[in-house]
Amino acid sequence: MSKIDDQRLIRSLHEGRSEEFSEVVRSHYQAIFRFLVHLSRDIHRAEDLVQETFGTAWERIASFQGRSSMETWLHRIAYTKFIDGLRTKQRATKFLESMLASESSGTDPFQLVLADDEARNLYRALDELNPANRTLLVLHYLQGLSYREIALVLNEPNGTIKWRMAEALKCLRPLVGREVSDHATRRTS
Amino acid sequence: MQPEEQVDFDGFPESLERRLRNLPKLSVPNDLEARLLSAIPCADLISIPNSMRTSRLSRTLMSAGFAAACLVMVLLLPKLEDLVSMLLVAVRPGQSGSDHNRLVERSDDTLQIDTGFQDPRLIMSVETQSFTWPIHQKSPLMVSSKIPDDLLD
Repeated sequence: MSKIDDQRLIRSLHEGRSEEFSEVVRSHYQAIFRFLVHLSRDIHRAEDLVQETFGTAWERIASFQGRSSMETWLHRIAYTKFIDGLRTKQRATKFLESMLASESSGTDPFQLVLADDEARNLYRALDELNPANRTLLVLHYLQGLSYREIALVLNEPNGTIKWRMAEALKCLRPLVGREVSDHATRRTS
Repeated sequence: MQPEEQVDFDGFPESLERRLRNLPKLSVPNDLEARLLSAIPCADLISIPNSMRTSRLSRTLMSAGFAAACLVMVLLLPKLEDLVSMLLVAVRPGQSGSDHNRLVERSDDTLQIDTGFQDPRLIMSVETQSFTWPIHQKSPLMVSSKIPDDLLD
């Protein structure tokens, strides 16, 4: 959704046309759900969190001034919800464990990823990163947010985000290489 | 001739960044949208309060104006009370109570004086006081006034 569309939506919502909020949900729920799946590594938890995210967005839509994009704002809420959830309940489920344990049904979000070896390796490498680095890479490369938008979501300076992004890529690189060599060994044996 | 693909040091023809960008997107449960939309409250039940629609600047200006008005009232209140008491003293004894109030109200529209809110002691002193017109009122003793000789040692 473009900035102009965002502004139009915000104006409509501030004028009291609350039915416009369903358009916000339709436009952004998929991206927010995927982001939360990557953060929580738990599909069911992500579903709960996405509902909480849009619930909070609905409550606070009157105070949203449009200084950031709607997408950034929703990511910020989702990230805060996830962190709040972590504080109250620590979940140590491994991402790939949940991926591999999940049944292959039409609604399984990991089905497509599991069918692709390279994607599987990348996801496995991402899973081995620390949560802070993984969040950064997911926000930038998978969610498509700019450095400036990530800085708003994570509430950190722009320069810090750039530096941390480079560090996260450095950490990911050897993990991807190892996964590839492991995979090649398995194939030849 | 096709351009040579950049080979990453981990052995992949694509860079790591490009591969991350090209990762297949996770599918989303089919019923999630319906669940989210059903959770939105009915449009008729929700209205954004008017107070939230006003801008931050206007709210600040209103607050500043209110504070200034309160300050002016606090500063002027003692002077207004003095004026009221002087006017009450100046009323002729033959005048009725309603005329008395009207006179005070005419003298200062901003006061909006109501007899019910006046100090009863002040009213009593006005009623019992006797004097003849014109009034020869002595000026109150001021700090700058000269002290009479009989008061000095």
